[in-house]
Amino acid sequence: MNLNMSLDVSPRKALRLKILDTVFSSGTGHLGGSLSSLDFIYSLYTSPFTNFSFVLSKGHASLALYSVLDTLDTSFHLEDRYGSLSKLGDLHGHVSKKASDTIALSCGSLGHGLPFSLGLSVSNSIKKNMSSVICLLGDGECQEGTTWESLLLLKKFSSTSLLIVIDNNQSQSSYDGFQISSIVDMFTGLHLPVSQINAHDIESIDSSIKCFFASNCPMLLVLNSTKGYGIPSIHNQEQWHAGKPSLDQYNTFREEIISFNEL
Amino acid sequence: MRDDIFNLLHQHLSNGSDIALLLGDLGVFQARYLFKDFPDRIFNLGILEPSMISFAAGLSKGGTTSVVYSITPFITERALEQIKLDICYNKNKVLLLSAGGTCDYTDLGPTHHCPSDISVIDNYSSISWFLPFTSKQSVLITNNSLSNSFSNSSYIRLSNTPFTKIVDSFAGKPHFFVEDISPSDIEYSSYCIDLGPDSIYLPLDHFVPDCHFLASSTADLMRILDHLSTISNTFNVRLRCPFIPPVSVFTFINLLNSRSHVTSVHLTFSSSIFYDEVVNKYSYYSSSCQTLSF
Repeated sequence: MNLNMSLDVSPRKALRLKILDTVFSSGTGHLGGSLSSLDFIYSLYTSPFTNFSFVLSKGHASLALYSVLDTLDTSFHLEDRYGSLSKLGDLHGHVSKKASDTIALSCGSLGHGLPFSLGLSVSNSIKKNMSSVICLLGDGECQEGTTWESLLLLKKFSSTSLLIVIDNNQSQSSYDGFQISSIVDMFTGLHLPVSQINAHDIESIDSSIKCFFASNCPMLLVLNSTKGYGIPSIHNQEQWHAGKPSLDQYNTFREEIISFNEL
Repeated sequence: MRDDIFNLLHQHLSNGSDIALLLGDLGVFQARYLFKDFPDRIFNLGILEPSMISFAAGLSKGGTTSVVYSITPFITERALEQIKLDICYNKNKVLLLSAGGTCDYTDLGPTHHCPSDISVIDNYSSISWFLPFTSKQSVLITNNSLSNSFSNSSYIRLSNTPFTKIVDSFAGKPHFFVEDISPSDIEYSSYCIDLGPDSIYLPLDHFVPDCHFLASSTADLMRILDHLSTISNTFNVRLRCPFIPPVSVFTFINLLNSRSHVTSVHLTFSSSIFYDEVVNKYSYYSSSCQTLSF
C-alpha cells in the first residue's frame, strides 16, 4: 500500500505527524488517546480485509482514524475539514460516520459502540451477510454499564463476527484507570477467544486481525498501549489526554516523532 | 393493544419482512408464539434498556428494522441518550413501543410513572410520536411505521386503557378520530381536543363525553388545524393533554391563535409529581393538572 508522505519517515510516523499537525492547527483534539489507538487502526485499514464495518466507540480518538483515511484517500482533505471554535469544518472532535462508509456509528459519548456493534453483527448473522464488525473501545470507557450489559448479551449471540478491541492505555483523563482484567475473565468464561498484545507491535496486530477474519465468533483483543505513543515526552502523561501544544511544544513533539524508535 | 401489535408482527414475519422484536423482559409470555415461530427474530434481551436501544439501532443499521417493547420510563428516561444518539442523531430507524401512559401504573408507584415521555421524544428530529386510542389504531400506526415509505423512527405509546367503544354522539356533540374529519354544517362555539388516551383522566367506561377530536400525533393536530380553519364563526378551543406538553403542542396553539376566529385556547395538562401512594386516578389528575390560557 503506497502512502503519500512528504517527509522521509515511516508511514506510521507520517500519521503521527499528521495528528499532531491537525491538533496544533485546529487547536482541538485528543492527542494521547489518538496516538495509543493509531497503530491498530492503521493496520486494520491497510490490511487485505475490506468487508467490515468499524465502530470507533472511543470516539475522541477520531484523529487516529481521520489521519489514516486522509492518507489513504487524497480527496479526504482532513486539514480543511477538521473544525474547531476558531476554524469551521464539517468534521468535529468526535468521530462522525460521514467521514467514511466504513464507519457505522457516529460516537463520542462513551458506551454506545459495543451494544450497537453487537446488534449490527447480529443483523449480519440473521441475513447471512459475511461482513464483520470491529468495535474499538477505550479501557476507561469499559466502566460504562452498557459494556457489562453487552458482555451479558454475548452469551446469547456467540456466533457473530464481532471483534471487540480495547485500547488499554491504563488512563482516562487521569491515571485512576480502570483495570480490564474482569472483562478478560468474562470473555474467557464464555469460552470465546481472547488475545492480549502490544498495541504498537504491527506484526502482532496484523496476526490478530488475520486470526479474527478467519474465525466466525466474537473475539476480544486487548491492546496494551502507551498513551501518546510516538512522542516520548508525553508517554503516559495524563495532561496530554487532550489539549493544544504551544508552538515550542509542537516543534519539540515533531522532532520527537521523527527521531522515535518505534516498534 | 400490545397483543394485536404482536399479531401484526407475526403477520409481517410470516410474509418475510426483515424485522426483529426486542423485549425488555416484558410481554415474554404473550410473545411465546412469536419466539416459537421466529426464534432468530424475537429476543428477550433482559433488563438492560440502554444497551437494548443501542442494539436495536445496530440491527437497523444492518438492515433489520427493530421493534423494541418495554415500560415507558425505562425506554424514554433510562435509555434517553441511546434514543438521542444511536437512533435519532445516527438516523437508525427503530420502532419503540412503550407500555403505559402517564399514570397507567398508578398502583405501582412513581418509579413506573412517566408524564414526560412525549415532551422528551418531541425534542428530536427523525422520530415521530403516536398515541393510539384504540387497538385498531395502534395496529394501523405500527403498520405504517414499519412501511419502507416511512423513514422516521417511531415512538408509539400504548396505554393500558385503550378505548373500547366510541360513543357516536353525546348531548348532540359528535366526537371522532381525526381521520373521520369531514366538513360539517354544524359549527360550535367551543371545541375540545383530547391528545392521547390516558386512564388518569378518562371516565372508566371509556368514552369522552365532551370531546370533539381525538388526536394521536402532531399530524393529527395539523389536520385539526386545517379543519378549524374552515370554521366561519368564532370559537374557543380546549386542549387536554394527559402528559407534560411537548413543544409541538405550543406550536399548534400558536398557529391556532393566529387564526382570527379563535377567541382563546385553554391547555390542561398533567405535570410531573411523585404520587407516592396508590390513589384514585382522578385524585392524581386533579392534584397534578394545570391549565394555561392563551
